[in-house]
Amino acid sequence: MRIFIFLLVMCIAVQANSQDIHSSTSDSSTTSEDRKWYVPSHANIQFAGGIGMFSAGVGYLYGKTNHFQSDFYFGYVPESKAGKHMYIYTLKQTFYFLEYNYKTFQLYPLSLGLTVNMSNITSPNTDTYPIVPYNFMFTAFMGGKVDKKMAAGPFSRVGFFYEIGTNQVEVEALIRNPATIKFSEIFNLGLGLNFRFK
Amino acid sequence: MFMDAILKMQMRYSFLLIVSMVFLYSCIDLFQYSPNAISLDESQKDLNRKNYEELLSKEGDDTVRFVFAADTQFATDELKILVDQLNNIEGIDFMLLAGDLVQKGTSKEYKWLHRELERLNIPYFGIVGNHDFERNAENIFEAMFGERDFSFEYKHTKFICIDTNSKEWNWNGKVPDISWLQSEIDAADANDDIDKVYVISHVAPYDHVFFDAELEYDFANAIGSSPKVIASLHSHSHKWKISRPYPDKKIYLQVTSVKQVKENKWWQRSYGLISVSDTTIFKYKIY
Repeated sequence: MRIFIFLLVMCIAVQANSQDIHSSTSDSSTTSEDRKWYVPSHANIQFAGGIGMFSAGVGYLYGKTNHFQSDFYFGYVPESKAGKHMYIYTLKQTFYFLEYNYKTFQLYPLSLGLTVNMSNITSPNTDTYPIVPYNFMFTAFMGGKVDKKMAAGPFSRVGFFYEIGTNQVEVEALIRNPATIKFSEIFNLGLGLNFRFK
Repeated sequence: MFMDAILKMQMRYSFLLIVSMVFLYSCIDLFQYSPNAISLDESQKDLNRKNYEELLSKEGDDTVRFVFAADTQFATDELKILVDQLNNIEGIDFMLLAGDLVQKGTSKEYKWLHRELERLNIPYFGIVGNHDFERNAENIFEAMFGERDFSFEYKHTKFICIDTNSKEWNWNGKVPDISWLQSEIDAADANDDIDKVYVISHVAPYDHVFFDAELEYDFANAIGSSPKVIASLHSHSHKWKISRPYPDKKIYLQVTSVKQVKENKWWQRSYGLISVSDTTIFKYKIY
């Protein structure tokens, strides 16, 4: 039940945010280039991918061709899946290598990225265990994205993305145990939607 | 133009796509909510209870022999060698894995551990160690093995397994649970069907870095209170040590790790093989 409430709140937050920007852009006829630096350029919703059962967040696109992307995510894993309510805070950095355009579609077939995340569930006694390797999780991923330009509505583009990633603990386990752990076993898949503001 | 792009894509990235499809097909957790979430199958849950039922269903001779191993942290390769070795030895009833089953407490580490352990011909029991509290391991361990303090009886012998990781409970004075231990030992004392008692825990009471120093003598006195208690079995230090540190002259064993460690200038890994009928303890190398 709590997860639905959480998702609802997130959706409303994203909706409200996008409406604000939409109204402000239509009033003063500003473009995305005129956006204040602190206003996020898009919002994301993601399923799985090691940063929560569901996670949502906002981020910025920058660079000459908008191929750099930085995001902040807030993820949630319900009690039934983690033993207690798990909240995960994630910083994600993505770089899109290629871009193909067709009509209203934009295809980014290859992206590489890194995330660092931390959850409310931490190891006890950080005086004996170093805080970074035992509490932070670093992941590296490879993925892709498809965007569709929207003529109407609150968003300029809506995109679908996927990520295949792994984290430092699983890489360490693989290096330590080449005979019992297969290379393919350390990867997992995340799926998400990207809503670009006007 | 789009077709050109697609063609180019096919040339360049069909390989990439195929490789990633193969990866995804052989993933353990395709959709991982968090590395710390509990993503166990039904067959990977409640193992201590299931294995006890398996142990009781097996028919064997009257002698009880069990393997005492520990500290498999990040060492599934070594565990594989141990499992292969144990499957070739006859007359062993079960294995006790005394803590530190994983290193960083992620769900996948427990799944990799389980994959090796399920190849064992004998049942096994997991006992909690200090690394089984890392991140969310507290909850994953509980889902996988069950209660942290438990006891079971097998052929006139009682095995009491207790959580002694006081440090991981922030020295709350309740771990180890001395009153529970005393009541279990008293119950065994009063039961004529029980001849011998073994107490198993991860941290030895004389290790004050992880064991609550204020509870050391309570723990030792509880063990010394019954003539039926043969030995207290521990791991944690990765070094082989048999001693009688308290006035009651009870045996305290610390077992070497399954993980390869440097001992006497040589890389070693070993386990203990304990015969209950004549109380012999053998150290076996894993090779």
